[in-house]
Amino acid sequence: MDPVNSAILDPLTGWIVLAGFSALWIALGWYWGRHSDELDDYVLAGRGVGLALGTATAMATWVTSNTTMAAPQIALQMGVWGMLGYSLGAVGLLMFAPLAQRIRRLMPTGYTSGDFVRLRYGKTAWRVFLGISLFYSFGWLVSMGMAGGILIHALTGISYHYGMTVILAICVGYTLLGGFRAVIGTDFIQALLILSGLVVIAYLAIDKVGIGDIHESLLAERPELLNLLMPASIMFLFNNLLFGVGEIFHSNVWWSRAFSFREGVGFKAYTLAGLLWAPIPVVAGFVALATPALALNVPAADMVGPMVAAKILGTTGAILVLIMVFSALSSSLDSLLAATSILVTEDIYRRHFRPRASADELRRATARIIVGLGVLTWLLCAPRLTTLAELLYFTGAFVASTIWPIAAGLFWKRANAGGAIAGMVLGSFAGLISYFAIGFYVAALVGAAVSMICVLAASALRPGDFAWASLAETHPQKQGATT
Amino acid sequence: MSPSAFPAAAYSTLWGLAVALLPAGAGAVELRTNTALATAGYYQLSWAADGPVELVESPDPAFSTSRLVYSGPDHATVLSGKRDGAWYYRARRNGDGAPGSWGPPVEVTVRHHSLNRALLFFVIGGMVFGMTVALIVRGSRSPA
Repeated sequence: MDPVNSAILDPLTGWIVLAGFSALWIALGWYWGRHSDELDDYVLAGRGVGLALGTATAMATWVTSNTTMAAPQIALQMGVWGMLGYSLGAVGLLMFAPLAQRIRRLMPTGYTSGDFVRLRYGKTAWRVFLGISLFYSFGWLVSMGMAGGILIHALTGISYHYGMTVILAICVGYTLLGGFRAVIGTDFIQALLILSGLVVIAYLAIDKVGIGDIHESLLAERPELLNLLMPASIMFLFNNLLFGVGEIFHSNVWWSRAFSFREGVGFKAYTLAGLLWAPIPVVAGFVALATPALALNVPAADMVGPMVAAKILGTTGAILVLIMVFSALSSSLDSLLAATSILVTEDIYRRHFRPRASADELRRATARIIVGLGVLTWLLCAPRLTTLAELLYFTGAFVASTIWPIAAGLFWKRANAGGAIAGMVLGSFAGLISYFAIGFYVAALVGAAVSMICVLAASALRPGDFAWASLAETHPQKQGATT
Repeated sequence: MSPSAFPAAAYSTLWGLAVALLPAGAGAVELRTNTALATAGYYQLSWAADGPVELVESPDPAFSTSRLVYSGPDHATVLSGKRDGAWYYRARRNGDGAPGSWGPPVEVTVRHHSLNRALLFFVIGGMVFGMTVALIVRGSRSPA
């Protein structure tokens, strides 16, 4: 049974808004993608993305179900530290800035993060990494599909399954039509919509409810949310930071952007994106703390953001929220579909099954994989097995274990395959144990710590001597050998 | 024996037994919780009902004093920011007619992690973060 019976918008209004924006994204996807015939154009936007688009796409992609839906959820569950801790996700973007610059320099013709791990550590580490990366990608895709269904249901009463289907179908549609150019172009528009919407909501929350009322009602009904020594939220702080770092360091979503940016753009784009993103979870999370002051019932923790915003803003506001969060989800879903499809195409389809595939065949395969990812995501979203935050942080154990293998692999000659493999396997394992034994708020932290110890120990015991030049692999299509 | 000395768990057991033996009245609503032990102070209560319901909370299994948590048509509610202790909940239908009878109570115990454990994780997290920053800063400064 759907838990909400008190949606602020009627379903017809919801369908009209969804239809309008769906048509807009599809049209833009077609427009930007009409000349993307070459593989590099389709999957990496021709490797010439500039600073403005680069910053917007990095920021918009990081403003996702994580920020707009899970940040308020964490604030509702973990209180003030949850809200502030969520903004530490910006650290991942800031720390990736120097990595993006180095990736672009060391791998000017690279396609995926998998390329790096394969060239740097060999095939065993590469396959372990692919397992982690694809698992994470599906976790993120499913969380966003779920977020779409939850959002639409919370605001309009439209069934979770209809809403989830709509958002997945639209994102698959325009990513398929326009490839990476459409992803980056729509990201720019979506970033503007998200930022403006959040500023309006935060201003109205303070104006209509008032800080004093929020504080008093929290103290009376949910006092631990104001406790700066609440144990779970203290554990959550560095866990969230390391989870964000792990997500960004390993995921092809961020590597594909590093490859697509013009030389010299990556460092500035990721730095600016991090600085612009940092206040967003604070704003998004703050509205959740107004829940008791508004006497609002929250049937599921991951619904709190849109429900509070809709309550504060009324019908017109609810439409704005629907547009804003629909934009946020779309900007991340399309990026992830594009980045995961090229990872599957390059690292699995071509490297494992069709090493002599032509550029045309790879482009067609990428399109088919985008559709396949959409279908698989729908199947995994349908049962709605858990809440958004719990699903996301389950993947935290895995992704945080890649931080040290990636960072040390990019900067240390002495980092070696044994340390990387042990770090990813043992880090993931330890993170999972802590997830079940203690809680979702420590999984990434434990995974990162164990992985770091493995990489440090292996580098000290059997230091490698890696030749950086071997990362500059030429793609077979560039050699013209198979086309 | 004074009421305060009577263990809360015994109250809960007796109350649960009494409710189980009595036939559920019209309008009784059965509550479910997603956890019986909340270590971070939050949990969800849910129920199945055709119409509006009224949900109350009490620190006392006999509900001698209670607070209205929710009244309306939804089928679940999330509680958070709770302090350590045992919390009891029960619900009933409250549509246009007379309210239904109370459903069986549900108990949720809130027991936060210890502060020492939390600080240990905080220190470990800070060390991992600091060393990762040092790796990147030093690596960025040295030639490729």
